[in-house]
Amino acid sequence: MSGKAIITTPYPTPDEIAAYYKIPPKRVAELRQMIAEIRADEASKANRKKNGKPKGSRKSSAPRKITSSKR
Amino acid sequence: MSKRELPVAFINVPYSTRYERVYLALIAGVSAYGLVPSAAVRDPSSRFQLERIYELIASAQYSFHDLSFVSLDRKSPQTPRLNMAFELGLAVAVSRSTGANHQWYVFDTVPYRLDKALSDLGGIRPRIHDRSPESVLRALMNVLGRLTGGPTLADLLNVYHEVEKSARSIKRDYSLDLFDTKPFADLIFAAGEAALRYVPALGG
Repeated sequence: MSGKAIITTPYPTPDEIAAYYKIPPKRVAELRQMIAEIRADEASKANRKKNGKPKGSRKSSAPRKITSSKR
Repeated sequence: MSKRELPVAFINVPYSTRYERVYLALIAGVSAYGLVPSAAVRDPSSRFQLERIYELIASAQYSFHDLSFVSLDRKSPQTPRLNMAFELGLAVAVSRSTGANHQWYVFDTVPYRLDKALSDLGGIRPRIHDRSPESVLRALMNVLGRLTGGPTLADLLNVYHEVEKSARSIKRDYSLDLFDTKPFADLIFAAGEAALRYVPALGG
């Protein structure tokens, strides 16, 4: 087995990767859109977390009305 | 744009859903180090599988071989899967040929097991992981480095999480099988974009 490899070549750009794998421009655009949606979703989750409002939370700030009684 | 030769890393893992996270972690990890992953994913257009795999390994500067799938499969007749060990053999041969520029690395999940399963590799200590993405990425960090600005474990995990979400999206959109030509190419592209965002040396 080889020793630790130290990589000195520049990072490939996504366009170079697309060319290497012959990904058509239309598909590249779709993939960029998919990645943008993933990131937007992540950002929105992070914002909800920051603001302390979990997804689907419908709790109002008003005090809860007691609907049952133990009279 | 003039084409330059890209640094390619061949990924050799079992094509089993149990190994999906290992596969995604290796794609994310090698991309975050600035390498372009390749693999012998199914290619229905190719008839000459052995020739194709040999060419893929010979054209890669690095290869990563997970030999941890040593059990018998469930389909009758039950057989061990020998492809991973065979591809490692090809990589070793490529690395020893005249003028070769190929480095290979072995991974397993059980320490010292390879001494018994593949004693021809005697003295070679595989990198151990537990099939979790973090352990695979840690193992990768032990064998890869960059001269300047290499990724941290946190960077690698960020790239992994985005690749994993892309995989989920691909599964929803068109293919439940990630070990196929098109999903593989799409994942490599997504990993390249993720590296651009999350590896600071790339301005992420």
